Amino acid sequence: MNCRQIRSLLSEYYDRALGERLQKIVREHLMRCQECDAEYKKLKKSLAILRKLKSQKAPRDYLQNAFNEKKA
Amino acid sequence: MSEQKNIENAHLIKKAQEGDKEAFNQIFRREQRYVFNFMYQLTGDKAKADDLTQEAFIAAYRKISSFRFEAGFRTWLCKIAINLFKVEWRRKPKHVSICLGKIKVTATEDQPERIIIKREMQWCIAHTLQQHVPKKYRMVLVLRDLHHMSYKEIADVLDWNMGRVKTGLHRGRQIFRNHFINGKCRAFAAHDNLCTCEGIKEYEL
Repeated sequence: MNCRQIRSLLSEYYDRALGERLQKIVREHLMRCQECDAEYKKLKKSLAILRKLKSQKAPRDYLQNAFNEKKA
Repeated sequence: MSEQKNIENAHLIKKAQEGDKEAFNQIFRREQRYVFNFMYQLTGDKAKADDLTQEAFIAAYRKISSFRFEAGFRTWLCKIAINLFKVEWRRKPKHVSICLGKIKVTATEDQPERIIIKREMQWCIAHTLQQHVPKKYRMVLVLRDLHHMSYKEIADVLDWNMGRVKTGLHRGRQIFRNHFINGKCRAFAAHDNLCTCEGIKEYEL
């Protein structure tokens, strides 16, 4: 597999969604290709940042209105 | 979710389907924050997210009898919410203007006084996601990376096939990464936790 093909698999590789054989091919490629490894590190870093987005409190109770709406 | 929890949930949903409000309350109360956040992450607008969440719960209450236990109830609820979001999106003007707070930075020896836009990291993440990742990619990115759904669950929520989920996620992650890490925002002078509308300049893990 060439670098372009490997890079198209990085998202699934990150999710461990490739299946054993492909996971191994990508893992071994990343060990010997600095450019692809750098791409993968950027992906991991950006997702770690994205996952820092904090959850917000729900501003109100939505259930009561749902009951009232159905009644009306 | 444990097997025991699944059985309890299924029991509550059946009771809710028979019109038991208390059961509906129990099963959906803990989902309010989840759905509100889901809508907020997609819209970037608290008032809009609030409206969409309310609409989603009204629709869920109306449609509870149609829940068939084929998917998880959270997946089912997300599907209702995302369909409302899609309808809302069609009404939304394509160009979004954002109100940004500008602050003045005092001149230093090597830099003249300049106006910059001060935002915190949380704002920058949300902004990049909501304003720079197109809707179709944002949906899949939010479901996977913020709500930790499996590819299969995402396919169910979005009515996409698995191939589309995978390519959509790949593209969405690329766009987010490119903007956040590779973007032109990095060309701006570095400043601790300051960012401009174009993206973030400094990040720390």
